[in-house]
Amino acid sequence: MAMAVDNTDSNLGFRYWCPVRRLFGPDAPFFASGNIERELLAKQPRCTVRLARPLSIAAQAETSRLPEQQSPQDLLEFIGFTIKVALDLSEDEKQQLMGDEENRYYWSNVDVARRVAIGVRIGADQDLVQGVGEENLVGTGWVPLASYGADLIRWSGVSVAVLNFLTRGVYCPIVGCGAKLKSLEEFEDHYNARHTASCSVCSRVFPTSRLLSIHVSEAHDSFFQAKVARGFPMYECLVEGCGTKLKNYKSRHQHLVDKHKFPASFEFLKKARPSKKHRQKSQRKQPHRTEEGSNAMQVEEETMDGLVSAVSKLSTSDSSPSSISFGRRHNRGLTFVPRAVQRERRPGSSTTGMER
Amino acid sequence: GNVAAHRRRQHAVTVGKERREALMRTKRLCRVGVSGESEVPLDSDMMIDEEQSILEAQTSSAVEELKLAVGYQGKGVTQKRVKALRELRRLLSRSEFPPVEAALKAGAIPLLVQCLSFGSPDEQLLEAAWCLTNVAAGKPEETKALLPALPLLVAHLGEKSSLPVAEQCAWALGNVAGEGEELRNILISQGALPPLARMMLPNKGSTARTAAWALSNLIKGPDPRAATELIRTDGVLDAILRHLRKSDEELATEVAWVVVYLSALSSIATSMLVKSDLLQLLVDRLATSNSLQLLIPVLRSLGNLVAGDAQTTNVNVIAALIKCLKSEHRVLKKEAAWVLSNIAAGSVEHKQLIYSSQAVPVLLRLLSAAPFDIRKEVAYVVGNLCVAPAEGAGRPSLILDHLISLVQRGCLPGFIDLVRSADTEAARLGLQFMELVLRGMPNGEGPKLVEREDGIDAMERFQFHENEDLRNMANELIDRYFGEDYGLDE
Repeated sequence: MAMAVDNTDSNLGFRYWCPVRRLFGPDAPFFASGNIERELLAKQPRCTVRLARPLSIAAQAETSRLPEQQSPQDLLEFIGFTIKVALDLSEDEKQQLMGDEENRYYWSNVDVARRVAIGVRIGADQDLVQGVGEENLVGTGWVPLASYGADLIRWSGVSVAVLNFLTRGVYCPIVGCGAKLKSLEEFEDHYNARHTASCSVCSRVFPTSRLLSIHVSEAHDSFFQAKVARGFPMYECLVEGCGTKLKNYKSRHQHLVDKHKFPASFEFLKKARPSKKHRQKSQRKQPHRTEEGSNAMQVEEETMDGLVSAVSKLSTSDSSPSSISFGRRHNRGLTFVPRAVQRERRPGSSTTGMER
Repeated sequence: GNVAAHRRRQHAVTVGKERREALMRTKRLCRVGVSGESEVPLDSDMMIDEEQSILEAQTSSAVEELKLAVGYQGKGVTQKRVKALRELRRLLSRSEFPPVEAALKAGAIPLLVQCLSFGSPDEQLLEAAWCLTNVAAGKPEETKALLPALPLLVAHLGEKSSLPVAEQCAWALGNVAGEGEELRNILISQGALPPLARMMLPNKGSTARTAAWALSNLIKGPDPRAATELIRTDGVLDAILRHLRKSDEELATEVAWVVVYLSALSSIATSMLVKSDLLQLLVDRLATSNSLQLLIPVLRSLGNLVAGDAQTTNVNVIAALIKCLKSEHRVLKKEAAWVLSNIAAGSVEHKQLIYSSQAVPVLLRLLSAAPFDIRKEVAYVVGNLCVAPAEGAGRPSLILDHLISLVQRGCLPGFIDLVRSADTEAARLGLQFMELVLRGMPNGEGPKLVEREDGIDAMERFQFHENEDLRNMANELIDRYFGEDYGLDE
């Protein structure tokens, strides 16, 4: 704390009052009492909410695919799917529910961003409310079930339904998109077109356009390989904003470890290990190909992969496209699966997430 | 929306409390075991141990299942993986005693890393990121265990990721950043800041809130570079203003903490913030909100801006600060007084602004009756109001009408009390104010006032005090104003 300048009178060595601004660092003891609660929130686990007592579940038309015995835990964690559950509620409990300000809102804690709410509609078995989202609950007659984090559902006998993707359309949930989509099909198409960064050659999916573009250059572009062969530094650093380019995969990896503190064991754009079928194919082709190392082989294989049916690749490999969990289709559980794959899978196949 | 937000916060605090209680319980159990004397009957000790080992066994087998699922290549692979992940996630989501250590010992991390590979289904990414989130929420060494997963978590913040996945990854990274400086630096080196900043831009939603929270952990320093990088990122300043202007209190709270660190650590950020509308937005929030969680960072941001930039103040600011002074919350009173003391350390106009406002009666009341730490801050305000800005070397001059008025309204006893306190800084403040009174009050009234309030007595306690500065100051005042000549002309 700077209080005084050495402003001495000729007589006194007194340190006079001198007004100065006092600035404290964020961790200064001065702020400690104000920081106490914030410190508690420095780390936060995401907890599952527990039910106070089990619900009894009656199957409804839309949910006939659900197994009869579903644990309440599962019920709460059901993402984005329509279920209706009939419970017995005494008059008192109904009154309590209607009047209880405290328990206004509950969010399925698994589905925070998608805003699927477990809401309670007193005495009604009607269609679900328009829209997905807390703001859409207001004025609709839906009384949300209980507060987030509290012990829930002490009441029975109330229709519980999970809001889902509805008939009247929804806004695309992806940040900054805002597209209005009137049906599930429309949503699927929109999503595929706009929001996946998937490689058109090998169908691998990436979380950013930039990574996709790097992948395409490095894995599928023979021009890229040509420049590499002539010694140009072509391998870009993966960290946005760095801009460094290295001459080969290994030195790029080293740069990531040295400069950006990536773990040494890390592999982002690792080359796929060819399946037995592909290896055999490429071995047959071997004599016709010039020696250019593993990168060339990769390019070759990826091209061959492209010839393989996209559908079967999507459904069996683990590099299937990112799925979103919306859905009111009966034949699927939690994950959004493109129509192409659905058609492939439908006969007798069990849907993701239904098994517990 | 606010109630939901409030509930979420309550939940977090409740969970925090539960954890602490659980931790305390664990410690107590350990103590019982070691010392031999037990308040707790042996049975329940053993039962707890049993429960623990059942939990650990469940966790190990969940990790085993995951290992099998990850290695599996056939049909229904996603289902298997998601199922295994979900089981592990449930165990790790218990609010009491989550078996993080057991999961780590069983080798969960490399498996979770594999589950984060690009192109994996959303369900899988979400569950894996959730597991990692809860591992990271544990003890320091548990958070550090996430190192191999960090680049993937950062990558999945990308604009092509589905929102729930990106948010869960942001949550996990927020926990990692919350651990400490070392991990923060690693995350920044790995480029975590730009995508998190982008996630904070949307107008509402839990994603923006989680991103803001994670960013507040990421930039809290002490290295100021992250804060500077953040304020320079496109769209961030605009988003901050938007959120503080319009967003619900929960989101505004997280953003306010971001502003706290920006303004405390980065002078570049402070100058950009000061040039914007931010000051008025902070004042508006102070005026309209009653949420302590929001008021604290908003007040502090205001304080940092004022401390960093001498020009920043106006009538509205003062009014908002007065509201805080009148609050029942100790932190708000103390920090509001601090902000006022910085304003009062400014130009004469600033001092007049405060002096002529409703602040003075409140300050005087606080000076006589509030808890110590608040009294000290108020003392700074009052003293600063009475002294003109320093000009070069030499003793700063007094603002006589302020001094006279404040002394007449009874502020002197409060300062003399501070002289009596054990805190050297407070004692020094008291002595310095007494000097102003002794020097400045007209017609030689100063010494009489001081004597009347037992000031001489308070000063004499320093005659042989161990602190040399205080000793000298007290002695000088006594010698000069209460020397041999004192009282002789009466």
